[in-house]
Amino acid sequence: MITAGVDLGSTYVKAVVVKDQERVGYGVAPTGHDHDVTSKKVLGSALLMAGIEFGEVDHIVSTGYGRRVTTLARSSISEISANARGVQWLGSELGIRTIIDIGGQDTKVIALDDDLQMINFAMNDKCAAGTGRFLEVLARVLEVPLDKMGPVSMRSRDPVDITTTCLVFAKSEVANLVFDGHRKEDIIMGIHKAVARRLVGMAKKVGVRDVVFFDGGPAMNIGMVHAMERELGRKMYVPEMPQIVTATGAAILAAEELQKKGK
Amino acid sequence: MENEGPRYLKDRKGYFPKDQRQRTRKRSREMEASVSSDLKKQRNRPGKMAYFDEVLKYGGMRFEELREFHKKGGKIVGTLCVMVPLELVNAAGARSVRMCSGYYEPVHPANELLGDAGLCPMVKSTLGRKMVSSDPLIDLIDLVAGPATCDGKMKLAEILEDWVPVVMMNIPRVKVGETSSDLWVKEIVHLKDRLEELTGHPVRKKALKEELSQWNEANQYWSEIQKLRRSERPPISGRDAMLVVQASQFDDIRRWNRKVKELIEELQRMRTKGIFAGEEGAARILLAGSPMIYPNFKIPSIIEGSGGTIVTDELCSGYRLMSDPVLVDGLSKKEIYQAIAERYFFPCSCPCFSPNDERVRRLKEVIKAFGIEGVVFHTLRGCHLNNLEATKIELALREISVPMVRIESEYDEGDIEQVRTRIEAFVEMIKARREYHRNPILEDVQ
Ligand code: SF4
Ligand code: SF4
Repeated sequence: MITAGVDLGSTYVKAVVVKDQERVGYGVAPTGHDHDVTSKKVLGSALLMAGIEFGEVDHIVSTGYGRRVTTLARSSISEISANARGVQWLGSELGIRTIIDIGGQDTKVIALDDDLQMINFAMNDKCAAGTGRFLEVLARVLEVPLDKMGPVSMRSRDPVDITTTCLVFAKSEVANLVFDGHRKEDIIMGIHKAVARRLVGMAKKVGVRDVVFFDGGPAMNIGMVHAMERELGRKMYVPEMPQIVTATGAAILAAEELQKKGK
Repeated sequence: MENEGPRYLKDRKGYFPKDQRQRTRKRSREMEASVSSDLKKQRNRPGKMAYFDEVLKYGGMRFEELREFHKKGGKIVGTLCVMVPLELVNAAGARSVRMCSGYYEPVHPANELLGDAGLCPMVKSTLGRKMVSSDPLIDLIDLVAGPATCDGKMKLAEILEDWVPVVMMNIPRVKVGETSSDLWVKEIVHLKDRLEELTGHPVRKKALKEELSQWNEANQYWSEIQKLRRSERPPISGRDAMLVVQASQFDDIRRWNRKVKELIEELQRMRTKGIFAGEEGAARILLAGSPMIYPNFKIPSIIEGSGGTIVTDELCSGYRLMSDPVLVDGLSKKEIYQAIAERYFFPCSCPCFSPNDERVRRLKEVIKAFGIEGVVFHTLRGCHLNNLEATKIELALREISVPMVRIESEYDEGDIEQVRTRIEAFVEMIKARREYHRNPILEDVQ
C-alpha cells in the first residue's frame, strides 16, 4: 500500500510518501502564494525520490494550516494529531511522552500517555512569540541567514537578555542591541533563549514528562535546541528530519484510513 | 444620587452618524440571517425548532409583538444578567428581554468611544447596540436591570445610564451564608419598587405566584430536554438546545412552555426511532466558560461541525437560565422574595463569586451524568474571571482524567480557522482515546 501525507504549513509545505510503513520519499518547499500549486509540486518531488508514479498512490491525507485548500487530498486531519501519529510511528522504544513542535506560526505542545496516545495539548495564540516566524524576522534584522543562526549563536559567551516577547517590539530591541555594539552571537543566543522561555512556559502548563521530543523546522537549529534544553533542564530527543514528522504522521494515517475502509 | 446628565458621551449629536447606524443594522441583520440559515441546515433537525428560530430572529415576530405592546403603553425591561428574576419583571406587568448582545458589528462603536478598555466583546457589543441602536428592539427598552457582577458588567450598566434608565443591583460577590443573601433580598425588593414605579402596577402576591409557577414549569420542561440529551444518541444538537433556552428570555413564557412541550414530544418520537442529532460516533462535549449569546454561535458551530456533539453546557447562557425552580416554603410575601433571592443567588456559579467551588463540584457531577468525553472551555477575550477559573478547572478535570481544551475568542470571524484546528485536534484526540480507554458508561435514563 502506498500513501502520502502533505503538511501545508504557513511557511513550508512538506510531503512524505510511505510504502508499507516505510518512508520512501519526502519533499519540502517554501509555501509561496498558492498552497495548492506548491503542495502538488512538493508531492511530485517526494514521489520522484521514491520512484513512484502519482497514479500508484492509494490515498492522500492533508494536514497543517492549509489542509483544506489543497485539492490533492480526500481527507484531512489536524496537525496536532498528525504530529502525534508521526511520533507513534517512530516507535515506542524512544519512550516519548512530550512533543514540542515549533512551526512557522503555530507552536504546539502535546502530552502523550504510556500508550503514546494524546492526553493533552496546547497551541500558542495569534501572537508570533515562540514561533519560527519570530526567529525568521529577527534573522533578517540581523542580516544572518536563518540556517546560520544556530552555529553563530553557539559561539556566544554572554547572551543578551531579550525582554519583550512581542515581535514588533523585539525588532527594535534587537536593532538597538546591534547599535549598542553587542556581538551578533550574543544577540542570537538571547533570541533563542527568549523563544525557549516562551515555549517552555507553555509546555509546563501541559505537563512535561521525559522523553521530550522536539520537532518542526527550527528544531534543526542547534542553538535553539541548546537554549531549550537549558530552559527545560533536561535533554531532548531531536529526530533526524524534524521538519517532516507531521507529514509522515499524515501519510501513516492515510494508510490506516484505507485499512479501516477495507475491513 | 441624581444623575447629572451624560458622563461618557457629553455631546451625542452626530457622534455616531446615521451611516454607521445603518451599516451596523445591516451587518447585524445579515449576521443573524447567516447563523440562522446554518442552524437550519443541521441534520435531523426537529421541525418544531422553527418556532424558536422565529423568536430570536432579528426584527422577527416577537419583536413585532413587543413593539405593539410598547406602543400601547406597555413597559419593557432589559436584563443584563441571568441573575435578574424575570418572574418579578413580568409580575409587575412589564415584559423582559435579555439585553446582552451576541452581535459582532456593534463592538466597533463601543471601541470608538471607550477604546479597547480590555472589556469583553459581549459588554462592548451590548453597549454599541444601544449607542447606535443597531436593532429596533433595543429602543423599546424602558428600563435596564443590571447586577454589578464583573467589572465589565458593572460599568456597562453605568455607561448605559447615559442612554436609558438603569437599576443597578448590588450582588454580593463574597458568597457566604446569610449576610450575603440578606443583601440580595433587599436588592430584589428594590428592583420590585422600581418596576412598580415604572409600570404603575403593584406586584401582587397572586400574580407573582402565578409567574413563579409558569417559570417553574419551564424549568421542568428544560429538565426533560436535558434528560433526552443525556441519552447515548441525543436527538437535539447543543446549538438548538441553547437556542431554545435563550428564546425563553424574550418570549411570553406561557407560549414558550406550550411550544417546548410540543418540541419535547417530537424529540421523544425521534428518540424511539433512534434519530441522532450528531454525526455518528461524535465526541460527547461539554461546553463551559463565558456566555455565548445568540447569534454568537461561532464556537458551538465549530464543535458540532468538527465531529463533536455538545451534550450539555455549564453556561449562564445555557443550562443556567432554566435550572433550579424557585422553592417557596411559606406564604408571606417576604418568604416569596427570600425564595426568589435564593434561587438567583446560591446556585449561580458565575466566576464573579468567591468562593466558587460549587462550580467545580457541579461540573464534575454533570460530566459523570452526561457521559462527557471532553470539555471545551471558552473564554471571551477580556473575560478575566473565566480565564482565571479555567486554570483551576483544568487541574480539577485532570484529576478525573477528563481532557479540556481552552479556547479564547473575540467577536469576529478572524480566528475561526485557528479555533477549528484546536477543536478538530481535540475531537480526534477523544476518538483515538476510545480505543485505549473505555468510554464513559452512560446509565440508562428514563
Ligand atoms: S457571566 Fe456572570 S455576570 Fe455575566 S451574565 Fe453570566 S452570570 Fe451574569
Ligand atoms: S463574559 Fe465575563 S467579562 Fe463579559 S460580562 Fe460576562 S463575566 Fe463579565
